[in-house]
Amino acid sequence: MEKLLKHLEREALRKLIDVSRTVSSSLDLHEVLTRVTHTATDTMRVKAASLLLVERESGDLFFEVAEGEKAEAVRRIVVPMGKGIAGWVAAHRRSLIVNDVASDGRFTGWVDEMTGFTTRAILCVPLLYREKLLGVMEVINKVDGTEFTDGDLRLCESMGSLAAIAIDNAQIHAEQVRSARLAAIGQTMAGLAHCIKNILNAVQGGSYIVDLGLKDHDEEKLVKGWQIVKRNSAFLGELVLNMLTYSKEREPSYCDADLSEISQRVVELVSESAQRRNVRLRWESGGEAVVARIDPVGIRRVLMNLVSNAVEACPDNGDGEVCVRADVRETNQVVIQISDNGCGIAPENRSKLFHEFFSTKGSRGTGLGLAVSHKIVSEHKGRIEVDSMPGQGTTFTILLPRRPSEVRAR
Amino acid sequence: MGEAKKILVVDDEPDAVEFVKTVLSREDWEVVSAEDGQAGLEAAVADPPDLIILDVQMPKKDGFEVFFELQQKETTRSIPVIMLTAVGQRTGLRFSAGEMDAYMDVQPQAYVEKPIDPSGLINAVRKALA
Repeated sequence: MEKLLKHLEREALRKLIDVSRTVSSSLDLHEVLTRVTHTATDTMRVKAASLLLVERESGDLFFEVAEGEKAEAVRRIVVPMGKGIAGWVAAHRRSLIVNDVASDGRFTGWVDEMTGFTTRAILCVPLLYREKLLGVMEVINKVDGTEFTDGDLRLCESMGSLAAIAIDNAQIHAEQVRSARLAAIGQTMAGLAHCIKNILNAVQGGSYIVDLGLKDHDEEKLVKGWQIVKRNSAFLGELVLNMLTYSKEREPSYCDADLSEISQRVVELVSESAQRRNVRLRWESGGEAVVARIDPVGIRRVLMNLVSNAVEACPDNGDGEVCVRADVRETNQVVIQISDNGCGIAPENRSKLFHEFFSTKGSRGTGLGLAVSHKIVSEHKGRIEVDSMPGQGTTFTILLPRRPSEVRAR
Repeated sequence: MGEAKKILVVDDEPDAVEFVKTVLSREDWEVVSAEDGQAGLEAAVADPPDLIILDVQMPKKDGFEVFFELQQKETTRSIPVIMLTAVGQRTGLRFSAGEMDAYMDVQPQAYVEKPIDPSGLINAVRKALA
């Protein structure tokens, strides 16, 4: 028996070392916390485990990671501070073992009600770092039905400390990224202001022409002026959407969507400006639906940006051609390609493309479209590849995981 | 009465060109356009206009580069130039301060700011053509 216990302790220690390696090697917080939770489940042999984080603004706890039975159901639940065992541990910043929840007044059972799980025994530890409460970790119902021990508690607290360090690191990193992004936006305010003034100039120009058309009863002027107003209002809309997307911190809201359909729709939307430039813009079908779990609004923004760019890169002498195509690639990836036969990208500009607000477009360019596209694709845990030579056109290839939630949970 | 005065508008934005053309054609001036700096230079050399309206922010060759080159050529040196600019823009996109001094002894006739005020533009053009 003692030999078995010693073996388990050694195992646990080894797992703890693994976890600490994970914490220091990855900046992907969700990945790290998933591994910690998984290790807890494995080592303590429990039926379920979760890790909840404190939501900054509301102070409530939300399930960042959940493993085991009813894990999916639990993910959407928000636990108010102080409610239930997890809430108590968070509010009091003290670990708790409750081996018979039914007899403990702090247990409310409301989460069980919502998920259909039956909690019998629970061990919960607060995640604290430098006096800050970052969340809680809990393990529930040992598989062999035995009670949680002090040994279990110590182990959980150790894992909890490691998790807390990771969370703190990630939050600091996120703050830094946010500040850098806001600083970048500040720097480009001048650039954006220029762009907006130019669009405004066109809107006012179009209105001027409409006024003349009304005054002179000249329908041609009326139509021409109105087209200009419409077109530039749309440009303004695109610019504002890009600005909002870039400055917001948002998790994509995933659902199953057909990328062929989305590409087709974008091609329709851009076709008017393609026609005006005498550019042949077409959508190619691979034949079947290209379904993936994506944020349709975000991916649409990416495609609008890249397809418009492609059209603008083309010559306006009638030779210009842009092709958009979506396919399934291997079992876990989808790919969307946007190819043009336009001016191409100089090698010295390639590295700047997504990392600064970079544009070669003169008064219309802000570089925001590319920066936004990169941001959205990264949020999807995908990537954008560029294949281009000056004078030989450009192909942008967007690769997205088909089921990003599966990529994360692994 | 002489021939109608000819004005060359150089701007990469078709809608902006349309705006300027419409404003100026009310006054019986002949307006032609070029859609980038290089084309503008070639048009000015091939058939020198009476006035050039030049947008500052253009890809490849910006307004200041074009202005500089116009000053270098015998046939185009004396053509008055009006620069179109978004507010506060007095420096070109690709010149350092030192380079700017080299040719900013000669300044454009006028700067007209975007969004363009039609009567302001007409006044500036009348003055430049006088």
